Amino acid sequence: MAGSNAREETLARIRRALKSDTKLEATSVANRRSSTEVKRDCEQKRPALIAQFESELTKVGGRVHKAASAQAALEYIEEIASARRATTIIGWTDRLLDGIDLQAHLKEEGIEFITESTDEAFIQTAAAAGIGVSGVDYALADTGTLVLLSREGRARSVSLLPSVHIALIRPEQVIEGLDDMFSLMRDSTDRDKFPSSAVTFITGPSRTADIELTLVVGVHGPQELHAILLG
Amino acid sequence: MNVQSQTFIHDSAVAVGNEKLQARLRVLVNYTLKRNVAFSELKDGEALRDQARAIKAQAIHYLDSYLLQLEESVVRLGGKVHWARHGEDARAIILDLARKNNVKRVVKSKSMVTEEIELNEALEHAGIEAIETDLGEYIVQLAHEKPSHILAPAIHKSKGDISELFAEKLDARGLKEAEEMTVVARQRLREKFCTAEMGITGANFAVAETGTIVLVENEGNIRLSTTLPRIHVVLMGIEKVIPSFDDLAIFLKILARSATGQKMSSYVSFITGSRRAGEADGAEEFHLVILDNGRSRILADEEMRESLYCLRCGACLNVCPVYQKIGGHAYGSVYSGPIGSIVTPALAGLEKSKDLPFASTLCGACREACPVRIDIPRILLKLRSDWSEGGENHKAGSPLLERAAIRLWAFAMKRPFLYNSVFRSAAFLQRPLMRDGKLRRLPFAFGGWTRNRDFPAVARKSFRAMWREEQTR
Repeated sequence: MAGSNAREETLARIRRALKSDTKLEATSVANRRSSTEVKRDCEQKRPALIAQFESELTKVGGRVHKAASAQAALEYIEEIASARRATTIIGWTDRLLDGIDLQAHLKEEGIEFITESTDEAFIQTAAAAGIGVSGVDYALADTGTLVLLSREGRARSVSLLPSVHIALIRPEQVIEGLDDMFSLMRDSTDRDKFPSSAVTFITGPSRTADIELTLVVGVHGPQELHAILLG
Repeated sequence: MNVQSQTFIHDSAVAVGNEKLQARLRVLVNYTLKRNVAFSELKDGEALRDQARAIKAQAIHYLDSYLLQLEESVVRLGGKVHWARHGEDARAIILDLARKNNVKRVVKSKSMVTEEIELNEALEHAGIEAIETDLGEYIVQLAHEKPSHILAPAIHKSKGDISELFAEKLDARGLKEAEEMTVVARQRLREKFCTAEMGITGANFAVAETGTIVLVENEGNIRLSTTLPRIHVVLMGIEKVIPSFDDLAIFLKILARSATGQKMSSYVSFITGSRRAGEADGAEEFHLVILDNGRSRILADEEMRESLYCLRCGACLNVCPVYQKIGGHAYGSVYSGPIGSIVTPALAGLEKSKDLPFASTLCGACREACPVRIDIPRILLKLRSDWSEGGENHKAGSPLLERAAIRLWAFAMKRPFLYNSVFRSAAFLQRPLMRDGKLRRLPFAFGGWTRNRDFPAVARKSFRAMWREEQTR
């Protein structure tokens, strides 16, 4: 059985191979900008960034809807649910639409809206739900990517287990790309909590090309990805 | 590492004659075409490759320090770090974890390093069900085969093959299209995800600064493996560590582009420890197994060291004229293609895989495609030379007569007069061996040179002689 021996031996082998104990000199090649600077830049470019985000996400098989109001967004969700005949929707605990109680509204349509705070066996429910509705933390324009940070109330399963994932995006969440995200994320997370237990990047629906390199959409993750851009 | 590379000459010849395999492999060119487009759209793509290489060089140069920092970061998060000198250690660690936690079922996501140490066999042997969940790996596992490509493990199988396989093993009959087969796999595997107690993944990167494990995929099986089972075990080779979190911005821009020609893969997960207080899902226990298994030997050899920068993107396989013709299985190792021809001899021993460094035209396409610019042809030449010189570990080397002849040739080349007269006589002496202007069979120890190809005959008139005539005309 391996133990502390294996640790010491492995480190010793590495040091022998490198011919010395190394002393670390702090280096980083990445160039981070201040988050204020990034936010200001993105603010100025926002309409172009939103257009780019829409075009990139569409290219990889995502569907983008623009909702002028929270009410319009709700209608999109109801439309998708009725087309998929979904009876259960799972979602984040956060209020996803300003001024709208999703749970109450969906109930009127005969749809149960379940979050981790309303259900003890949330994961089992999530596995059986047809649709998951989440927000995002960032939306990257240059690749059409959604970035979701895990925390209480924002279960990872929401964007993973149902075959349809609907993501609600606020305009200020759309940024240029990875460099911006790395700059913003560190500044907006408490130091002792950085990074979140899971940072998930989602670029389109789940896909595979493992059979004869034929693209098939919808393997283990969602088959459909809808991004609703709030006005 | 177990390999079957000793039969490479035979297996590659069989592969070249396998028309079905040739048809499968032809689609690989699509990866390369998409890769080229994806890189051309990237601003500063070439600079990013340089930066990525520099980060890897930094990580490897201070490997012991970064691994210790990684350990500290994982422990700070409440995770556990295990060190493994070789496959046996790693298997024992993971089996022990499984037994202690009464694990009956493990879901696995594609990981070269778990293939390298034959983890599945060890788990199955201990009565633990180990299920590959990447679609290609699942297919290969059902067929009791080995993956033949880093990214597309089942590329050697046709739709028809897979349809028959699913009928036989899953009792799912009459499947014709890739979509239908995918649906069946999704259903069968979803059950497994929901009931497995342990998820085992590899790592594309492990960040020393934060203890973050980065996993890149398209299907979502890795997300499920890290989200649903109670225990998450990561197995990584020592070379996967990178210094800082921000370095990831660079690697994420080049990895998917190199691998599949995507700007971003469908999913990237940064997993930092187990789930935190209040979170509803994610593993409750996090274990990191750090494996050497011969990598420190590569590290010790300065000429070989840069092969540890490899991101396992598969780009060198896709562009290699040899891989394109023979596929992955002929290499007899989980690591195939150009980078495999370096890694396999380095990990398993050159005596077991001596033919692999020679299975290259040295055209340099792999070096061009490599996102971190590993000079693969140079290292292949070094391994050839190691073999021919016959170090203490492999006494055989090249035949004595061949080595003597090459030494003579070198001697003659330095003396133009001697060289010219030798080749003038050779042009005359070769006649009995010549047919259609080629040498079909060389005698004595040189027979190997003409076993699978013709050797160009010595020209009747040397280039220098022709040049002189041209000048005096």
